[in-house]
Amino acid sequence: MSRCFSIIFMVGVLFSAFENVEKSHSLNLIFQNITFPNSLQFSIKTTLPYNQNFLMIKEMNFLKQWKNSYPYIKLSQNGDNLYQEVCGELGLIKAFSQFYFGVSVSAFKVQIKNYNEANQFSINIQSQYEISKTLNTKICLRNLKFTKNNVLKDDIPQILKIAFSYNPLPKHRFHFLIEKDTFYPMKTSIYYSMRVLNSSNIICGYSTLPAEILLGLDVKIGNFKCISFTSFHPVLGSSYSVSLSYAK
Amino acid sequence: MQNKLLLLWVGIIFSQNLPNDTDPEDAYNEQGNLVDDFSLDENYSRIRITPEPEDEKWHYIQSLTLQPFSLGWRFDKQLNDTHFNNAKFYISKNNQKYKLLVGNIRIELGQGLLFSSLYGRFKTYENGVTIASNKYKISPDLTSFSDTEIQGLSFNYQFNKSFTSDLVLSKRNTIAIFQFNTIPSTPRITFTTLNQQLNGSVAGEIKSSYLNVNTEVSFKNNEISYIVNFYSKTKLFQWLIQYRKFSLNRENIIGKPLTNLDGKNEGGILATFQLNFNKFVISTWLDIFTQNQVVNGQPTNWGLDNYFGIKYKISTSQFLSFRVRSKKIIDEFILVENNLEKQYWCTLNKNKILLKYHTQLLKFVHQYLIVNPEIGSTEYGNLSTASFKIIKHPKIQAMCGFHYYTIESWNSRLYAYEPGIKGEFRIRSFYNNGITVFSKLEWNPYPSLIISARISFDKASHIETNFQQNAALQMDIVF
Repeated sequence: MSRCFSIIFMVGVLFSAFENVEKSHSLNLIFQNITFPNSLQFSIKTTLPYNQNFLMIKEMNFLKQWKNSYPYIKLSQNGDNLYQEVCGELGLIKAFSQFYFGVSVSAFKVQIKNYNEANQFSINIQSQYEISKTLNTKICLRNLKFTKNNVLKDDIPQILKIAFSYNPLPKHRFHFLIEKDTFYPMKTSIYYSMRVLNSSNIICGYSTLPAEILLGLDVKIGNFKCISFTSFHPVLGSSYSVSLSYAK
Repeated sequence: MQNKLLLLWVGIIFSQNLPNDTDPEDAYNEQGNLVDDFSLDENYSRIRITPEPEDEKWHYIQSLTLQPFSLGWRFDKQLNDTHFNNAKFYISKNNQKYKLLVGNIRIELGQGLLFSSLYGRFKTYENGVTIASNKYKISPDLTSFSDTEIQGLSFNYQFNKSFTSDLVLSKRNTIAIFQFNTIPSTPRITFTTLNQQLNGSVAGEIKSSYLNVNTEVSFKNNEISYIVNFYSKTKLFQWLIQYRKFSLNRENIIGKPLTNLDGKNEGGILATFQLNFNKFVISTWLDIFTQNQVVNGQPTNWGLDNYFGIKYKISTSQFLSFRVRSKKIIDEFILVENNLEKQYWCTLNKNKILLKYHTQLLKFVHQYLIVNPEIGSTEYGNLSTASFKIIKHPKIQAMCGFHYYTIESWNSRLYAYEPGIKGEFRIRSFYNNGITVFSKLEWNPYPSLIISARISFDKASHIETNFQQNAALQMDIVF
């Protein structure tokens, strides 16, 4: 019963079909900040929005450098046995002298118990620039072209994301993110990260829609990195995220 | 009934008065191209947000050169759109011999009889010769204009130095262009099919040190239109004489009227002169034109558009201008009363005086207008614009200004250019009484990053809110 109430309440705050995996939660945004690709990257991540198991998002990324290009694959899954969204993304990022440019294809699947399955495909583009040694930026347009679907009422949302990463001092970094979903007002987030010790960062931030405060910690041991975040919304409650990655 | 018809005519004539009255010199270079923007040859990303609660807009442009290809796209989103629309895209490959372009294409040819320039044809105040520019440009189209778009494939092949040909294939058109670059003339022949009808144009230019001639003759739907320009340009003296004749309801291939006079044709003779000596620039034009009316059987209107301007260069960055422009349309119409046809006519006048003072930091323009929108009625308009550069630094430029206006009604409206952020061309119309305060900021924190913003507040007798706000924020990454 309490779960039913939770779902009814969250419909107004969260997102409709296809958007959980795609857009998910502000904790997901922070992982999409500006990091230029390594020669090899592998990561797994779990996010638990508002402490609700049926909203849990599981994600896996794999990227490998090939000449000047970075092919990657990303898989994510969200939901439970009543409602489930699965997304697979296959992409290629190419490095040019001053920037990176990437194209990817996403495949989405929505499964709702006792209803038909819905499948969609979309194309995404992204560009990433090193404006200076202290400022990087990334522009990403998700689902710029997509297939139509007759099963679900709404089309897949188009999302424009703009991210800045600015580190005025070696130990201090600011992230500023703007996200425009065509169905919703603009969402903005700002984060500050400070390096403590030689291999760890403390991160705190604030994001709008829904308004949340975030706290996080990342710890790097050799080529491995563990990142843990928590966010707090006064009504919806706390969300948690843990990620483990390997990069070289 | 008579009054209603009269009002209809008046409405038609004055609704056609598009921003041609404005001073385009602020935003255009001598070739008539917008100067305040990047070229598509540069790599750049642009994101613009217009965060109005009632009219939120998003705009995203990307242009990339990934050798040997160039590509770009554009997306716009208005407030109620569920998706980014007005999507435009191109990919091109250039080589010494050929140019291949796929996507949204813009064609500017000759005098614009078949394919018009982006902003149509207009007379510039201080350089009347620019109207004779003989264009030959097939380029990617990432503009906001949806009515000029051609979606398809363009292939340009240069056979040798004196012969070039283009083939453009789109959903609606097949266009073939042949250009012969012979000295001193450059004839160009264009064929295009539209709705299974063959259309075409012949354009040519002959240049010599004393006299230049360029012309375009086009046929569309079995009707012929033409423009002939004779002009000469020296440092001291420039002149142009143009003869033009457009067929009825003449539009270019993509459906854009050749004049801003919808539903009418136009013919006319234009003469422009410009004299530069010492610190003075004296320019003038006289345009005598005819207009066929929308309703068949009505007589042809005719009119005069004349201008005189003098500019005094006080120093290299300081000048004073004075301009007088007068436009008169003799509007004739026939009314049937008691089974008798009676012919009426009325003269519609529009006279404008402009005074401009320009320094490096200050620009002041005052416009004064007198119009006779109806027989026996006269309306007046006054518009003062002042703008100040408040910060002029290699990394930050900021300016602010205001428009103050007392204008009787929409019939006597005035237009003014308001500095926009890069890529914007803001010409605003003003009527009734009011004031607008505007400001613009451009910040280049790094060579490849430009953050720009503008905001304006309008207070006018017809605006309900106290100060109506209009703002935009833009990020350009150029590398």
